[in-house]
Amino acid sequence: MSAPGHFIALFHSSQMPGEIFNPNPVVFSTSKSAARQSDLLAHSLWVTDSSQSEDEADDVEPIDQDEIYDLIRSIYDPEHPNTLEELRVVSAPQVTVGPNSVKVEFTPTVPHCGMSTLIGLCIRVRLLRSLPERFKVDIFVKPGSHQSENAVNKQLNDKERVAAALENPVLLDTVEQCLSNVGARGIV
Amino acid sequence: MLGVELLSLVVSLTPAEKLNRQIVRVLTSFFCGKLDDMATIKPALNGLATLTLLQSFSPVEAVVTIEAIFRHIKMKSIVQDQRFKVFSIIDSVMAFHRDVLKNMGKQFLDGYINLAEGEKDPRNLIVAFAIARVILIEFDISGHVESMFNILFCYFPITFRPPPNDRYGISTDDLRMALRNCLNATPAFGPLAIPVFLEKVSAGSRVTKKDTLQTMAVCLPVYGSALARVSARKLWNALKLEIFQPVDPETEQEALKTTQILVKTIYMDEEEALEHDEDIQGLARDACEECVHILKEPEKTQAKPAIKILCTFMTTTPSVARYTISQAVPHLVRLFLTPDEASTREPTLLLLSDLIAAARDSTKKSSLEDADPPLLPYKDEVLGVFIVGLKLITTRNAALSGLKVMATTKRLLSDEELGFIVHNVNEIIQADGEELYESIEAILEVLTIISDIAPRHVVEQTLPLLSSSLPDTAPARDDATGREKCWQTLTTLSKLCIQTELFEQLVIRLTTKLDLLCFPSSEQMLSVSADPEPTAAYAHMILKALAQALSTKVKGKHPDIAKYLDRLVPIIFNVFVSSAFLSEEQMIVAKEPRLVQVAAEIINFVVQSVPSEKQRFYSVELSKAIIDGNVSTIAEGFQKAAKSERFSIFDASTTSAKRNILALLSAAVISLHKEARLSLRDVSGFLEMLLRWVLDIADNDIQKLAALHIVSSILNRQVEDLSVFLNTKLDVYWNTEIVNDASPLPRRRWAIKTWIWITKALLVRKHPLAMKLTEQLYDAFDDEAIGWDAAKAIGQIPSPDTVLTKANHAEVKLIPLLLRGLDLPDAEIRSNIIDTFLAAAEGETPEKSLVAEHGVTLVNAMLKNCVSNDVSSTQVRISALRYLAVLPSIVRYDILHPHKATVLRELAKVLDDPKRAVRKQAVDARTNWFKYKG
Amino acid sequence: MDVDLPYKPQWNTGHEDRAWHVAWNPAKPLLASCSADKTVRLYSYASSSNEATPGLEFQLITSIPTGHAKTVRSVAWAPAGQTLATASFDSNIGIWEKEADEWECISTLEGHETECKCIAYSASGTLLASCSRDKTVWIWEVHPDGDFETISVLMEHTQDVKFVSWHPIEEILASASYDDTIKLYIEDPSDDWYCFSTLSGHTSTVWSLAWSPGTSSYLASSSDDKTVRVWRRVAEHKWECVLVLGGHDRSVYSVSWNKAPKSVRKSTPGCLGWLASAGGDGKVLIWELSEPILEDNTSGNVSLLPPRHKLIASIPSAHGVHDVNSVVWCPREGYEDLLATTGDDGYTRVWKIVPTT
Repeated sequence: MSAPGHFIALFHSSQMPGEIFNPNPVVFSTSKSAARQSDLLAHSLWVTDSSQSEDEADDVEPIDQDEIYDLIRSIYDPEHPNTLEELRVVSAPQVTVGPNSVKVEFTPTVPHCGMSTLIGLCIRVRLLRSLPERFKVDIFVKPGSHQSENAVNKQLNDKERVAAALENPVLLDTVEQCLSNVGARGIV
Repeated sequence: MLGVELLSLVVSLTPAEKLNRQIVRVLTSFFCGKLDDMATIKPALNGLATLTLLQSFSPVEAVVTIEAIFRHIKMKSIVQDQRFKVFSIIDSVMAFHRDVLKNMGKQFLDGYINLAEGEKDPRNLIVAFAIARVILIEFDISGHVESMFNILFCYFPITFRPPPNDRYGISTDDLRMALRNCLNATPAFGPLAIPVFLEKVSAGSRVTKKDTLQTMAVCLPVYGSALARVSARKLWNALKLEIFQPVDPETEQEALKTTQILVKTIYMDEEEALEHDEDIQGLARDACEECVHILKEPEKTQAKPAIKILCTFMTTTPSVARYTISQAVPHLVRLFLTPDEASTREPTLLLLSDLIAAARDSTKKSSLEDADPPLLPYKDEVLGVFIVGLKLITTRNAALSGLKVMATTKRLLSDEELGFIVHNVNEIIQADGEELYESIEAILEVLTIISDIAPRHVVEQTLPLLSSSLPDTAPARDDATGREKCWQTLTTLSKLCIQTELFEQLVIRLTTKLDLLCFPSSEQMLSVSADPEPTAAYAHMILKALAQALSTKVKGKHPDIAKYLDRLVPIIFNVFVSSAFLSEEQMIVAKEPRLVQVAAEIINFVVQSVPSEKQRFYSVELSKAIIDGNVSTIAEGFQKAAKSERFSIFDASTTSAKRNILALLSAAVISLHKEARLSLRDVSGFLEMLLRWVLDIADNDIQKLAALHIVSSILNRQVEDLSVFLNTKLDVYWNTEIVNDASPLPRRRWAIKTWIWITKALLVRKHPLAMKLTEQLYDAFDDEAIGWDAAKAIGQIPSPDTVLTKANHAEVKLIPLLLRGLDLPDAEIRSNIIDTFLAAAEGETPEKSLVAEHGVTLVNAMLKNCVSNDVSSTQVRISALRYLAVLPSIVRYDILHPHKATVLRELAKVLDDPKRAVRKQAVDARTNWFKYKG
Repeated sequence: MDVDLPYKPQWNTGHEDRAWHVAWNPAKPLLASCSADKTVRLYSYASSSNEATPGLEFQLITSIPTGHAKTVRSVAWAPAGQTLATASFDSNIGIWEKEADEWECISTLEGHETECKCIAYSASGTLLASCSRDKTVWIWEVHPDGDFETISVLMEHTQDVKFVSWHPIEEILASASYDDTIKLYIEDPSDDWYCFSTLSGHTSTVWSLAWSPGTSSYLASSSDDKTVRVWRRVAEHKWECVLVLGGHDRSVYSVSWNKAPKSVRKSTPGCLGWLASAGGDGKVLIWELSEPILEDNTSGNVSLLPPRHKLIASIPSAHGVHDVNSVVWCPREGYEDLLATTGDDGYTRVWKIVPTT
């Protein structure tokens, strides 16, 4: 019995080889992860070598917006040698953190961007590997920023599709490429 | 068959001189006759392989052998080893009787091509490629270009993967290189090769792309400019794609390199003929136009690759470079001055900065180094644009990076223009808003660069500006802003004043200020005495700034540091020694131990940079100071006390303030070279005295550690003279001071610290006693009072320090001892040990790793040390995670493969650590383990 | 009702990766779970021999390295309990039987183009249904000796098909899809299988389906829209949604429906059994459903009223912080109060639902 019909590619796009969705997006300058104005003398007369002393304090530093943004800002765009931060695909205010949940919204550079699912997948993989298991992660494109908004969102948040996508070696290789410098956390 | 085999064996064992021409002739003919029989082919080939290497193997036999091989051997029907013999025989004949083969002409080429066709074994291919390269270069292949092309290009690109445990150790890269050497061996391949390259580069995988690009880069120059010119369009279209839509940065880099070579190949030989740069035609012109067009939108992603291409053109030919500049620079200048949107200004400056940096670098290391810089004709416009950019906050950093490039371009800016830049930069410093903070690093870079070329401008304009903002008296206790300002200025100064003249100025200005603070005038004395701490803290900042500048200079190995042995060190000694002599009741700023410590750092930096001959003189004076209490020759300055009085540090009756001076002396002693060591009459006696002094007299940690540092450094340099001390005195010391219950606990603890410093010194010298002394500490673990200190000591012995700077961590024998230490309860110990492992990891590779055999133990130990519920010290958790992150790069995958899943699972828990810094390390470690693959 | 401790302590042997699905053997004390680690684990259970810990003891008896190249997404037992089927993301279906103490793959069914997500045996065991991301549902006829014949390929859904389930008595097949719908199929005796009804109502992916026990005039479905819907057969070929159950905060990945234990059935008139649901919020909810009662004085029709329902138990964080991927009642007589769940933590857990004392 012959195989029926034709099928859309896995986690995919109907992209032709060599086709580029946004050939020339704007690159924005990135903020140097706002080196906080040193308060080293605020509490003491003395200049000390390191700030190790307060390090051992018991206070818990919860995972916050900035920390999660740091995790994803240096993901490379699949089409360009630029980071998601440089292309303003992601930004800190687009990350929402709850006690056990994270919501990340991202903005494709163009509304017909066929790379959106791939970008979302990269974000998901990065967070999957970097966040404690207790966090439930939801990833959405910014409302109104993509012509197939619902389809992209649905795909990105279907755990079965994501799991299957990550078993596709070609796709995984592409994801790894996009994540190759993700440890930079915005520092160029 | 047995006969042939036996004969072949005998031949291989017979000494070469016994095999004369006659015998060789007979044997050759015999073995050649056996090539047509499958049963005897193997020994026959072996025999021939031996014979072809002999001197007595003549050209006649060479022809006979080659002809016999061509006639009888069917490569497809014999096994790899035998084919290898065939190639080896041809290779030998090629080496010793090349002319014979050349004379065979078509017969040889037809025969060889037929034989080599279809070979698949990597070991055989390496030989075949070597033979092919000789044929291509030296033989007349005019009638065989296509067939040679066919038997070589069929392997391109190499996709072979060596099997695991390949006994011949042939790598993919070996094959790639060998093949590449054939493909670029003759220009005749050119027309046939270009279509192959074009196809492979566009259709291939990442690896293929890279290989193809690299191959093109070595082939294009050989294939020649005529071919490059006619294929330019097609090649450019393919290369462009790899640059504008790169699959990865590496491929992009390769594509740029190949583009550079393509342009070079095309234009090199017309360079002479070209009268005006404007006459440039063809690819360079078209590509330039294309890129400049893209630069009309400097804020878009494509602008980056476009500028990279233009930058690449800088290193092609001088005329192409000049042409490119003449097209791109005016365009970018115009764009900046008349932007459609202000937001394009910053990217425009960044692109311009990239371009002129490439222009600057293009003349380095070439005959052009002395020529005028290519940017010269456009200097005024470009400088103008950057100065305008400097004034706007949004474009300031971009402008600074452009100015940096201009300042580092040789023969571009005049002295006056450099002064103009300094003037403009100073204006920003003066304005001193919040925004200054964003640009300070870039500003310092520009000023530092200019101070290297034309220090005058910075010395005369910037330094006074900065130092005049430093007050002569300390900001009051409640003036946090004033203090912050002081520190910022001092930090800026310490970063800026690295160059010789600037540093000299810094030393003069800061030591003057220091003297004022430490010895206030009588009217100020009152307020300082009322609350000396702010003044001490300010003096401390000043010393810190000096130490920081020195530290940078030491890293840069600046030769001018040495002269501060006469200029800075005596002043420092003078300030502190004089202060120590002032009466006990007076509030003396420089008696503050924190100041003494920074002062010691400064002395250490200077003395370690002094060459040993000069150190030798100094060491004599230093010995006088330590032993006789005569500091007059090492202290010099405004205060007279140090000149006139003597003091004996080691006397029980002396004051604590005077004893603290040992820290300064110690800082100098530990920096002495072996040949400039202290002149001591009785070294062993001196060491014993110091050990006693530590326990009996010294009254604070600074003094005790200073003494122990001296002990350690003397032992380290003179261990061979101290065997009596080591063999007899230490045992006594152990029994009376360390394990002696009757001794007070603090005393025993210092005795253990002494033990640490002694052991450290021995460990660095790889003295056998080091292991014994370390082991001895394990014996003290059960001691209720000091067991914990003994355990701690284990971690401290191998940890890096500033006294014995030679790398002492990679001591293999210590590893098992250290591993034992990782189970100890104290966090500090474990932290020390882990840091030791981390330091040892530097320079380790999976191929050559000291810790590989302990890999599994280390993984488990580190996992235990990174869980927050069990390990309360943040520092230990971070260290353990750092080490876990490093392990994949220093231990072969197969060793740790069985633990990968566990590590990932355990690290997943650490992702929820309460501390952000720990989580960050956990994420990085986990990422490395995800990537860790066979 | 209360929830007894899971039997986890007795069998602390989870998968190395996310456990997707679990299936009780209908005939024997056996339980099979499958995982992204490409294995199937089989557990046996028996009454405890230790008096201190009465109840059931579970034991891992084997871990089958299935040879599937990718995740094993679901497992299903044939009604006789001799054969096990596996559905994998490698697009294939494995058929397993025990031969001389070893579980052997006796047949591999190829046909789907992309990930196979679910398989199900019909009540008679003569038909096997499978579904895939390739949007198709396949029906295979089971022949002796591991021989299978494709008898129908149904291309009704517009998106991935996530789940298939057979009616417990009649040969009606239901499929659930990423296209938010449920489709019901029967065979036209003179022609091929065809879809006779499409149930729309869910607003996102339908993840799983469960028929009510017995004559089964109800079908439950769980969805990414965080609800469970209950559909009633209002005519031979007509089903309508009669109830929407909430209570979950994230996707409901699994739903299972079984008859209640005997004691409950006796005391509850019109008892429709127990319905369990679980999902991304880590919660397992257990509902007791029964037929609606028509008030004497109303002239209405029973079929207009929803079944009566009450929440009888809730297990928050059934697998710690992890998603619960499947929840399945034990189909064996006398074990109706046993519930198995699988989670992203790789574990299979078994729960016993007991009355609150």
